[in-house]
Amino acid sequence: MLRGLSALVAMVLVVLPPAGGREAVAAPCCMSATAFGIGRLLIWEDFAVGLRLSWMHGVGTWDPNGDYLPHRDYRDEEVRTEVWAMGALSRRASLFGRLPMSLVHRRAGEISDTGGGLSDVAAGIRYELLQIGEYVELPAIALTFAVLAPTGRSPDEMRQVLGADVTGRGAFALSAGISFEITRLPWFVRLDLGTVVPLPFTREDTGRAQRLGPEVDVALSGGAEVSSGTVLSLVTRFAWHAPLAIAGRTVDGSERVDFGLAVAGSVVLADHWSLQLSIDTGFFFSGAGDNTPARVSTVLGLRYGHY
Amino acid sequence: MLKSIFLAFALLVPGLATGCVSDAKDPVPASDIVAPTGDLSVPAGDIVLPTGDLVVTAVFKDAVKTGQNRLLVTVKDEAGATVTGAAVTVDPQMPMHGHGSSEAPVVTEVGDGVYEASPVTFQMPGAWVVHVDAALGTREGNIDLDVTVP
Repeated sequence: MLRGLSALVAMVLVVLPPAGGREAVAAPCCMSATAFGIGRLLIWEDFAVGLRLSWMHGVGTWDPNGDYLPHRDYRDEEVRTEVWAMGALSRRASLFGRLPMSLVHRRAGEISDTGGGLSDVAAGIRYELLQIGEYVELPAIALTFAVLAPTGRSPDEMRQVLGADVTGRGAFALSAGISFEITRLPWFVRLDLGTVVPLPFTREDTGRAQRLGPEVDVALSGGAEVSSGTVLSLVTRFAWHAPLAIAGRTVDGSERVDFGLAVAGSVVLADHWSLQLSIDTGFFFSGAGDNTPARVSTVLGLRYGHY
Repeated sequence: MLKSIFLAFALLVPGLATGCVSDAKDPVPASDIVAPTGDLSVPAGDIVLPTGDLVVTAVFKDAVKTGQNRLLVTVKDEAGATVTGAAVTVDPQMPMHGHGSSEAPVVTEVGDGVYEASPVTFQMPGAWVVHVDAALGTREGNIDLDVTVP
């Protein structure tokens, strides 16, 4: 049972979208570390650390009318490495941090760029209002709050023609989320709601104040332990980005919508160690997105929990 | 009013010149000075003072693609005459991401009121807005092109 529960939690950790949606969704030129979705500590754990390796492949884009346009003579690949850690402050509270690095390759016709570096880091706190199993008939409820710092290279600082050297949003952001989780072994269902609110900043190229639109993310996941220590799950996600504002005026046509689906698996390798794998995709047809890039993502994660 | 001032100046200058170089020319006989009366509108084909905005149009030289493109900008006045020597700027912006282009286009006048901007770089697919501004003296014009880059 312990192995099953560990696998369940480990799987949830890698599958669920980070705060404010997937990293991949945040515009190719504009990547930012997000907050909630890093998961939680098992009841008996003191801390946990992990490594996530993601590969994102661009396949197309949705225009502001929601029409899907597959890429033509354009290639967009990103490999993202993220180290994360979470430590218990008390029985209910834990601190977490994320350190992502990106490597981007783009090609358009005869132009090819490769760039990368540190992306936007994040740190926050998670608080368990109700822990799993605390009340049999009630779901576990947790709150997360985080700060995202613009440690990545912003679009204003790009030097490459295709912008492959952009690794960050260019602005501080605050995020908050709430999770509801019901576990009835071997099944679980989880609902995550979150928002990311970028703070205003001044663009170096125009000298004008700009504020990226806040985003709202919803993810519903469900799964089961299919064998001892192995969990499979399915995740559906939705993200909405409000229009951005420049010099106090909303920019028409900058609102974004994104839908997606992911399948994930988690395996307990040994005591303290678990391995996770997930594949995430959008729905690549018109109407299934708005003003956002379309990508397929694969994530491989390794987790160590100390107790 | 501007036309009146011009006409008054046109009448005044010969007098000033006469005063400055009094021995260069014979003074203008009073009978030759005609005070303006009646309709002061300038007849077509004579002196036309520039007024109004510039009319700006733009089209991409080839099919728009991710990467570098070339934009042809035409500047005309309200009468439809081509305008040469205008200061033209081209600024691509990507609203959904809140950033501009990775390169600043260089604008070159290729003649007959046509200006070429290159490279107009769209570093990623998606919705872009290309701001084109033209100015000549006190006249100006602009246009925003909504471009979906595949």
